[in-house]
Amino acid sequence: MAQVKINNLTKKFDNLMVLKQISLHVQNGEFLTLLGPSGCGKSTLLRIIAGLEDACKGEVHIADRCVNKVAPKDRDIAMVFQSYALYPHLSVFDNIAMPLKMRFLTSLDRMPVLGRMLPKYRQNKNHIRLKVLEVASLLDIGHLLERKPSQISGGQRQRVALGRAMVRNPKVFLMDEPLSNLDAKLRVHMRTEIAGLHRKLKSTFIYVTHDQAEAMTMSDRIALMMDGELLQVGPPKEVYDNPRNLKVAEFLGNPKINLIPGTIWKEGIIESCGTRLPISLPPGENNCDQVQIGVRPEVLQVVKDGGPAWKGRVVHLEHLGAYFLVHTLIDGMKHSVISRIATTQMALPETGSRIRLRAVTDNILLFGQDGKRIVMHPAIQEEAVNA
Amino acid sequence: MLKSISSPMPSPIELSTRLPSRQALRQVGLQTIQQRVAFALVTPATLLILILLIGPILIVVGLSFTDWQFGNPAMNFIGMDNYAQLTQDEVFRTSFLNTCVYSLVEVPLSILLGLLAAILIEMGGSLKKFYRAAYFLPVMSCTVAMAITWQFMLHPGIGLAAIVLPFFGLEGFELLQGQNTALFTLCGIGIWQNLGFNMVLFMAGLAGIPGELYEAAELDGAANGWDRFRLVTWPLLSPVTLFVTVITAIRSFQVFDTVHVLTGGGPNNATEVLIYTMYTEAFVFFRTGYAAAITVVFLACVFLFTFIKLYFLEKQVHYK
Repeated sequence: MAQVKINNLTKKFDNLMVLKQISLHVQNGEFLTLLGPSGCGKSTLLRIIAGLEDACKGEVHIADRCVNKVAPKDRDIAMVFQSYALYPHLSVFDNIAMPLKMRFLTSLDRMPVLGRMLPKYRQNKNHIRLKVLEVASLLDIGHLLERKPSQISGGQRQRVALGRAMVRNPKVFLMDEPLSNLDAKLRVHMRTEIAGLHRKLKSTFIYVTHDQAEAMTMSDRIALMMDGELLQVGPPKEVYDNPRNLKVAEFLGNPKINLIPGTIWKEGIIESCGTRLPISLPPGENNCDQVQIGVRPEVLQVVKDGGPAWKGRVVHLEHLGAYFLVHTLIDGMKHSVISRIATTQMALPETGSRIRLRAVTDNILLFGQDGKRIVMHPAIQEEAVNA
Repeated sequence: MLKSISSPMPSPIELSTRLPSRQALRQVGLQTIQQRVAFALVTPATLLILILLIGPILIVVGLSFTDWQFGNPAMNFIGMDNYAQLTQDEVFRTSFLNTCVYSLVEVPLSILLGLLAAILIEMGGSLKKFYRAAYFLPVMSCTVAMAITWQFMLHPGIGLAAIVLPFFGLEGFELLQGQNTALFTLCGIGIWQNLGFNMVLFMAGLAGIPGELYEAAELDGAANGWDRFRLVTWPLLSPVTLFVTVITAIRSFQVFDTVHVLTGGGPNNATEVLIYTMYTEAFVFFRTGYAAAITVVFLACVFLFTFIKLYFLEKQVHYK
């Protein structure tokens, strides 16, 4: 267990800024996910923490020790790679044992024939064997120890890679998209297993992924990155419900958040596509300001009553079993919006029919023209400032 | 009336049992056609292999049991006499031994240096392409022309050697003319020529090793380059190393051009090698039957290398 502190980290590749002044504090025993689209710098950040890449500026502290000049093997970390990076010529046992062999045996001990003649050979060998067996039984791969990586399945390889990381009880686990080579079903399964492993080991986990489902389901906190910047750090629910800006709101959520244009008409009322919505705004927001109204698909509901609502035409329907997605072209908009409605809630509207859509104003998000969140309630604003 | 019409009509059950048999018949016909097409397609290649490869080998093996001399209309079957003579022949024994020494020096050195060059060049920066081309040039050049160039470079009177060697206190040292140095000088030229070829193969092998494995090794505690080489590079290169070893061994057994141009087997048979002995026996002394026996010995050696590759080493080195 250890804290990982990153202070003002900057990384440049030639002229390209990959990481811009990143500061992040990972707590003891926390599961933190670095989430972001491909090329946002999340893997580079992980590699800098691992020591496989040098930072241009800034510091990395692991367990209150600055490790900028410390070799990867001395940082007391373990990493699981996307491709698993198992040694193809070694058995599963030897793969898991390798970190122990490289650490506790000298190069003389590791000599093929000479090593056996050295005094502590048997003792060392037994120690390593016990440790490997312990890890293998924890991961349920005890029956595979004699096999080569090519003779086991993708999921099993993933476990071996985890075993190799776990075997010497590192302070911090670093995982670089470890599930992206698995099929969808296995991925969901391994998600639960890795989360369970974290609970069992109580180590600090830093997990890189571009898959928001993985980030939302596994982590204690999500650090959302885009274009080399850290946009928001917080528990999954908070980042989803209370995004700091439009980019965060757009990245999280599937289907994507609906954005409907609007204008602040007068204090407390926004006009949007022929509808007036009563909204309590903090003082200082000017009249006639253009805003984007963010409405999550599950919040945008079809209504039949006569209150204020967006009117539009159903252009497409997707039935997904438990719920359906209604694509509606709101009058005055160029793009359709999506609402997610549980099948039990109402009957499927017909394509081409006219419907009315409404969102509870407490659940909508307001963004200014610059993409920044306009916090509607003073209470929420306070929370956002504190976060 | 009704009966007479219905009687020749097969019942549905009959139909269903008869239909597959027709289909099966058609399938058998299709199979024979497919087989014939397959044979027709394979025949040209098989014929060519028989005429150009297997046939000549069989003829050589046959000739090795005769006393035929090139141009002589008559030949006698003499059984194993040629082989018996080989065991007594001082020149052949020297030649076989020289070929073995040549291989034992050239093969490991050209492989090790090729691997070293490949690793150093892969580690290097901007001049990568230049070095790659420079090392590969000897492979592409004509061996005979290069041998002549070496001859002038090593000339004790007017060559580069005459200028360089005195610096090392080796004045008047004749590399190609000395009985103890000639074979090793030829080894040096052979290494110079084969190194580039091996290097290119090793480079291809190195490019195939995933970078993440080195990173994993680094995190696992492989602190220095040697540890990483032992843990990752060497085992993952082993299929390439095996291929390179067999190819280099076979090529080293075939050494001829440099011997023919530079030493002619001399001085005092010091550079006599298998193919050169075969050449002199067949085309200088015209003792074709005897030369055929030498060729059979040579072929046996090449087969041995191939056999070792196929049955022993290949099983140990392929992981995927």
